[in-house]
Amino acid sequence: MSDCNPQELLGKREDGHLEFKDAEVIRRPVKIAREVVGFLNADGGDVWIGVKEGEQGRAVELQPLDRPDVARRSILDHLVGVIEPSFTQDEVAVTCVGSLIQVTVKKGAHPPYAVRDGGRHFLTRIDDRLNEMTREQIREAFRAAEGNRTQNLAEARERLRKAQKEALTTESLWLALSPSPKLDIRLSDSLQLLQTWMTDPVATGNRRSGWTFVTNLRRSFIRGDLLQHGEDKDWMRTTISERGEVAFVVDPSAVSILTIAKKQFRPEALLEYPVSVFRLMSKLLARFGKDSAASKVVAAFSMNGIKGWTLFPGSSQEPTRWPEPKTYEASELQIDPERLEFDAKLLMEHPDRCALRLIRLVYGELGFEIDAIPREFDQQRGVLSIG
Amino acid sequence: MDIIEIARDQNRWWADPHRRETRRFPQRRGAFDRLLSYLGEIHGGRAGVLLGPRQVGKTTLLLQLVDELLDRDWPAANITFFDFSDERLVGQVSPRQIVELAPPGVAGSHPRVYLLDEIQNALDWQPWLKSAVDQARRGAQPGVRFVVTGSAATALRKGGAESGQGRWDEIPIEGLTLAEFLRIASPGDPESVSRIRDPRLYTRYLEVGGFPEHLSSLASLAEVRHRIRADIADRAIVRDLLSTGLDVERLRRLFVYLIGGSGNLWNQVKRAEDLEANRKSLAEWLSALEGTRLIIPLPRDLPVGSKASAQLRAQPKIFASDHGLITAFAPAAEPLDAPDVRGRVFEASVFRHLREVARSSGATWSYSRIDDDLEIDFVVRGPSRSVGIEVTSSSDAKPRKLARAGEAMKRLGIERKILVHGGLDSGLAGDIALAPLHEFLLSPERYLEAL
Repeated sequence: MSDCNPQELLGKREDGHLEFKDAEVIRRPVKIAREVVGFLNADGGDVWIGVKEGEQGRAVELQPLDRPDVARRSILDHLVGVIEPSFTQDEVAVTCVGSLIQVTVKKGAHPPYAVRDGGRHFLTRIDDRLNEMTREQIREAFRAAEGNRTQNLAEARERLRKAQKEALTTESLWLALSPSPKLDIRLSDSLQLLQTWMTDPVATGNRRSGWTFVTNLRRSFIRGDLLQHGEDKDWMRTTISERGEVAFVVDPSAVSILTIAKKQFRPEALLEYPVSVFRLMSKLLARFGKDSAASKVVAAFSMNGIKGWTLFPGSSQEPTRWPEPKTYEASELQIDPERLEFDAKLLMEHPDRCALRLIRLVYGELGFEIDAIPREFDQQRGVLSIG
Repeated sequence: MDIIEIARDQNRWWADPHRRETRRFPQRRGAFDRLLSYLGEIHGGRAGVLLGPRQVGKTTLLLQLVDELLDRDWPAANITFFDFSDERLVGQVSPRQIVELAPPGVAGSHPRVYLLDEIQNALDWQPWLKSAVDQARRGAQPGVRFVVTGSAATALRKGGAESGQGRWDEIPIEGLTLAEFLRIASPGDPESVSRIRDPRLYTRYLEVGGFPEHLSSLASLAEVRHRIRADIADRAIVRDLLSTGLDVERLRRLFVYLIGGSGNLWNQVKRAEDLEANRKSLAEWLSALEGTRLIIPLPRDLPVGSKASAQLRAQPKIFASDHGLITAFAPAAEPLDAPDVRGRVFEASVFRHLREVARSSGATWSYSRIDDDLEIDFVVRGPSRSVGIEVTSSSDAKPRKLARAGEAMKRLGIERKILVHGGLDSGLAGDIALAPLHEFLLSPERYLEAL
């Protein structure tokens, strides 16, 4: 309906996808929110504001709004504040059409939705009527949502496994994180912010010259639904997808000791690269995520080309405290996404703590207990601090 | 501890010829081959004098020479290294005392090699080296060879330049260039000299400069900065210049001023006021600091035929010889986040790399000022062409900056124009070549082309 000439609305009847509200409704925006929730829980539709309905729900008069742009902002703010769970820009769009306002609603991806108005009201649209959902309908919707969540998580894991398999075809350290439900990032709209995160380590809470995904020596570019930082053949590159998936890949020499031996892990790099990527995901969740308590993030990790590499336990700053290093005999190391599932809220607030889980698994795979993790990682507080 | 004991301690290979001192630093700098040649025949017995500021790897180079000779089965006792800045020495030691040491096992089949470190601390070293070289030339084969290092050139040159004529060659050395830094930091990477694979190393280079000791150090930036300040202020200035009789405390203060304002015009009047000193003292102090090679003057480019008075009036700009000094002495927690510091770091690092190229091609370097507000940061004049270089830490080449740089260079008749900047754009903007800083530092000769 976005191309609709408002004059064409006159004479039309409300139905399962069309609702008219007169200009007065601006003073009671919760009425608009209720209609939006009804559409989110059904099959979507349009709410027109500034259209008076007559008998049998027919549009009989257009009532131009005084300052539609101000009203549009105010309605959107209200909807964001009272509807749960949060909707995306794709799901609900509020636009000015001449002096009227059109709220376009798609079927929501995470039903059941509710409006907070002295309690939570679950509503759905049936023909031209707005109905409170029954307990059974709500329960069923939650069951379906849980099924969706489970399915989404399974799909996210599958995508990661596929990418992990591909990563293992070259010598690399690879780490990917996938939020579920997916985020909704309009890459071109957010390009400047994302580029800042990719080029300024401080912007994501990382060290300036640390072992991180960040570099200002590479360009970012959009390729399909991905923002890629670094060329395909680069030593290091990072991608962020519209879904909010992050993938980081770097040559394994990035985690080796410089100048002494090529085949020796540098423990600090083993810690800091993953932490930096988790910190990036934390920023993405905070900026683009929904605050649903049920949101998850799954991760997968692999290193390839590390056969014969040795790892000294502890920090490089205290090499004499520890006895023998251990040598990794296999050529690849992988952590399956089944073992790395995080609450999105926890990851958003404590990215280092979540990265620690991965690091503990990596140390385990390399034959060490968690006390071999360098002291730079304060495991009690769950915070990495190098330098 | 007497000298023989200290010498034994410094020359462990006398007791164990299989010992190697530089296993941890196997990468060799460009100056290594040149120094090695002074141990052979081609220089006719001249000594090689390696001159450079503290902390740039002179001692390591000498010890790498030791290891190289041992690897070539040179008799261990024929190789004598001595560090005249050893903290255990009480009073000044004469080089003669070192040459007279006779470790067991000296072979007559090979020359004796003396590698004398920080020789400015030795007693009357210049007349000694002069006569030692002369004697060696007159003596029987296989003779002796000398390679010496010094970090305070004022002391080295005091009466030395003249007597050194024909007897020794000065070989300048500075902190690592970016290419050297990457090559040493990534020994297994064959592409390290042409391309920055690990971007972390580039950031590290901008932060800590070309001091090899801090190249792959895990120490925090704050710690490294503190170490550089302590090494430079306490040792290179206070200790090394103490023997000059100058007021080292005010020298140190002058040094901090100069480093903080790296790239500024030398303002003698202002500095004299700041330090409550007369102009004569100030000139002496500046000369002493130049002697440490921690600061480098950049003269003004004047038209051919300028009057002598104009040349005298033309104040130089004073730069930190290594941009790591600027970050170390910057009054900021994150130096590169401060635009002013970042700008100075960019300029000093470009100047460092220009000197490297200009030295090998016999070119001169200067800055140019046409009007008060029309300036070119660097002008490099070679035998066949001139290159003008403007530097900005900004990530985009602003049209106004480009226009002004272009105009200034056109008025000076400069053939090749370059804008070094902090972004990623390369190619041409009009007739000005855009050079991202990291690419310029990695291969300045590519941008300067044939001078």
